[in-house]
Amino acid sequence: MTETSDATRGGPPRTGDEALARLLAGNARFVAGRKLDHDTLRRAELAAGQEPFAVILGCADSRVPPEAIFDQGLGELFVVRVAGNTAVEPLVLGSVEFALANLGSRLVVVLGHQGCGAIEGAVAAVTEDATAPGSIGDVIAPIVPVVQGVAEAESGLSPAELRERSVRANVRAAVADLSARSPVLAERIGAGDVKLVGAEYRLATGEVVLV
Amino acid sequence: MTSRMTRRGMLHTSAGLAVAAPVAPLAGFVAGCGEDEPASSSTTTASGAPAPRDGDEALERLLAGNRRFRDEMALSPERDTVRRLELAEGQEPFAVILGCADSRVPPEVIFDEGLGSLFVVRIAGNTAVDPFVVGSVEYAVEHLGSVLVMVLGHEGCGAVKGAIAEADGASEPGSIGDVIAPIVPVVEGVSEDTPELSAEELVEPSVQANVTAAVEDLSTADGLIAELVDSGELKLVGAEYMLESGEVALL
Repeated sequence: MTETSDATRGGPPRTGDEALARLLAGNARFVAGRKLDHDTLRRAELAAGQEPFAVILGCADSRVPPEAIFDQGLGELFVVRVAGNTAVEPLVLGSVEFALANLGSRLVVVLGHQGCGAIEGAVAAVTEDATAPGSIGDVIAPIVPVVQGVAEAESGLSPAELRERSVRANVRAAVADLSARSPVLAERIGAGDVKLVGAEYRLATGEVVLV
Repeated sequence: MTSRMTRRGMLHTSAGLAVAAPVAPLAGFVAGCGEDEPASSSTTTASGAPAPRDGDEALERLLAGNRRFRDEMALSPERDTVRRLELAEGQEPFAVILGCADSRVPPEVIFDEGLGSLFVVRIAGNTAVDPFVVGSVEYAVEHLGSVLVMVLGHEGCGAVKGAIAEADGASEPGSIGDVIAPIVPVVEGVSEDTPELSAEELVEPSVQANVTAAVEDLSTADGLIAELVDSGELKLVGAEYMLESGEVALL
């Protein structure tokens, strides 16, 4: 018998902790290759409105679609994705705030990942003084100080080590930026309404690890 | 390295040697899942068809996937360990989607694609005014060889509704105003053209006008996308997702 999302849904998570537990359970299914049979017939029900239980701020990378790696169906995740998953731009902050203000989401996850190209670009900018064409530099710019901070804190890192550490440092920076630059979010976290966490996705195993 | 990557790398060597540096490590990654690996399923679809070679084929593949989703025949392909391991060394997404953060419109689901096919930029309201958004799209067409860019709006978009309210005098708290700001002039344009429409009636034409505006913004941004569109290497389209039927209609 196929397990359906309805069978395990049991109503929307009431707290950030419950929301996080649901995401991590979904990720465990994805890792184990036991994904649920999501009900696309929810379309009709959702046409009237959405009530996503979590907001994901993730990377545009094609290997990290949040709905797939957390094994969630339509209407469950409000997903903001920009290359490098940074939270400096008002457009990104506003997108996250939109979900908190209007849709009742309880959890915000900043999701970085191994092998992030935007991080590689920022590392190249720091170690080789490289510049990127077009507007790609705008994507990399907020990551450059993060990479510099990692390089200064621990000298002698190889470029590979620098990239690996910078992925996690960049997630932590985005978590800090979200609460520092969004009074709306800070207030909701302070009141205990919303939980904010950072995480890293591992490309080969499919695992999401909290940072 | 694929010939496509080489061509794109060369496009920018004339602008200075420094720009070639960030391309180099990425080109190495792409080579790992490139065209000279015959057994790799990164060059095939779930149904065994070859990867799209141009924008038209890419669009055809997306629309075929959307028909499966619409008809409840989704395959939910390529979400397993095998695919993850193939992709661990690099990605080569054939299309870029600039879509909305709305939880009802996940591109991988509505186009029935798996891991590694779609480079997905999502912000509330799918606008392309911010250099940050433009840069995310450019990253994929420049470094990853994507042959199609689709701006994907959707019925009942909350950011568009917010812009309609704002054009009517309301204001949003925090940074939400920054999300809505680029949509306000679009709504005002629609409203001027069709003054007889009520606020509710304005939503649908404004969603479509907002997609068209984002397509225009991408093609006029800073020349990088326009150059690839002009040379025939990249296709740029706008589309709208219908919430209830699940259908994606080209605009």
